Amino acid sequence: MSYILALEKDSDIVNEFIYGDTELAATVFVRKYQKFVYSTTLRFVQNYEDADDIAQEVFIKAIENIKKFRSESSLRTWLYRITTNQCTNFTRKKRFFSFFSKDSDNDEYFDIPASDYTPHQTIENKEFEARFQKMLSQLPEKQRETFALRYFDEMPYEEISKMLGTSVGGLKANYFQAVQKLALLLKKEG
Amino acid sequence: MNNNELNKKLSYKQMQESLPDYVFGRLSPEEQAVFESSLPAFPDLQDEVSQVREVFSKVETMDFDRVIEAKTRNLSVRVNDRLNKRKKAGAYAWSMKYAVPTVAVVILFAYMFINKNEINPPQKIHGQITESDPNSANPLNYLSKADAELIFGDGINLDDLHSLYSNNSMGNSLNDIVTLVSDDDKAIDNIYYESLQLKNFKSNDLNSLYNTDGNSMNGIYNELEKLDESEIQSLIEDVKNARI
Repeated sequence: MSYILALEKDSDIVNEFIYGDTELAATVFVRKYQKFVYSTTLRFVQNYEDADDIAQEVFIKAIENIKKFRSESSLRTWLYRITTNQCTNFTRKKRFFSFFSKDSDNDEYFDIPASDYTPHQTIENKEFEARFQKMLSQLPEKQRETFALRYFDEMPYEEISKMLGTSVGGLKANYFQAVQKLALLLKKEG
Repeated sequence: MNNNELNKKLSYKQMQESLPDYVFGRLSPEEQAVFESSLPAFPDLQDEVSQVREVFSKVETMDFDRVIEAKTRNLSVRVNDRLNKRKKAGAYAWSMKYAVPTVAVVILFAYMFINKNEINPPQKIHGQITESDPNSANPLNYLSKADAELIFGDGINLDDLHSLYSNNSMGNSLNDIVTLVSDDDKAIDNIYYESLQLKNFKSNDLNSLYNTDGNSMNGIYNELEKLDESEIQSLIEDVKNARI
């Protein structure tokens, strides 16, 4: 267990994949980035089941190619690119097949697990979280991603810039506009 | 923090860009101080700060992480399981990826080979099956000397026939054979039948030499093609016993 905790840096994880125990390295790798990958996927596909499936595929793809990782960017930036590509492919396929299917499973997105609140508070919080996620999904992709990566993941602008391919000044402008729009939507909600 | 830094004023654009981080408490103490010292110069941004703080107060109390944590519980185990299954399936998938097309190509070639043999079925002459060889259009492959002399008549012998067939130009060989044969129509018909077995058969060569209408020719072709090995043998016997 202590050895697992020792694998903190990205370089240690990559070395463990190349020279050490692959399964151990995979466990550490997934645990370190699972929230990041899953939340990113969820923003794109807005469905828990699909997000879970895609997140697994993202990690498998990353693990299969990690020996080719060249440390030109951080592991997180590299993972983000894999995640967005997988989400884009999934969305395309889903759009194609949804033409033949009338099922709509968007309601699952609002199935948020219960917490320590009272039942009334829990329902209220559930509904608010669902409404907020929906507002977030209404933003343009760049603004949504900038907001999420800065607000939820607390990433530095320089790293977000590498992920999204936008300048730091542009990201700050995107962030401000996203917050402005969300504030307007939240105000309308009352 | 020194006075110079405190006195630094931010532009309107810089204030806008720093506003969200200021509202959500993500600025360093120094940056926060600079922002607050510049804010009074921009009343609309002051309103903006108040509004955003108010509407986001509920968002700030939400625990979005809780959902994500619940959903990603044991994700590492599931990823490892899927990875192991893929590795086991890998060998099978590899063989399916390459074996199936290979087998399909082999079947296709086998089918083409079988079909090719059906066009040139083996010939049975004098009780012996002889594989027809279209590349070797030599009557010696499927006619005995006696039978060849009977079929082609007195005006030609096997040696002449052999020397003609060893000529590469089959069209010319067929013309040459016909000139050597008597005017007996039966002989020409029989030549035509034999030539059906030859590679690069040119029907026009014999059609032009056979002065009859197309129906008769077609009728003969059809009849000849219907004959099997026993009927040919019977025909040869009849020719042997014929008295002209």
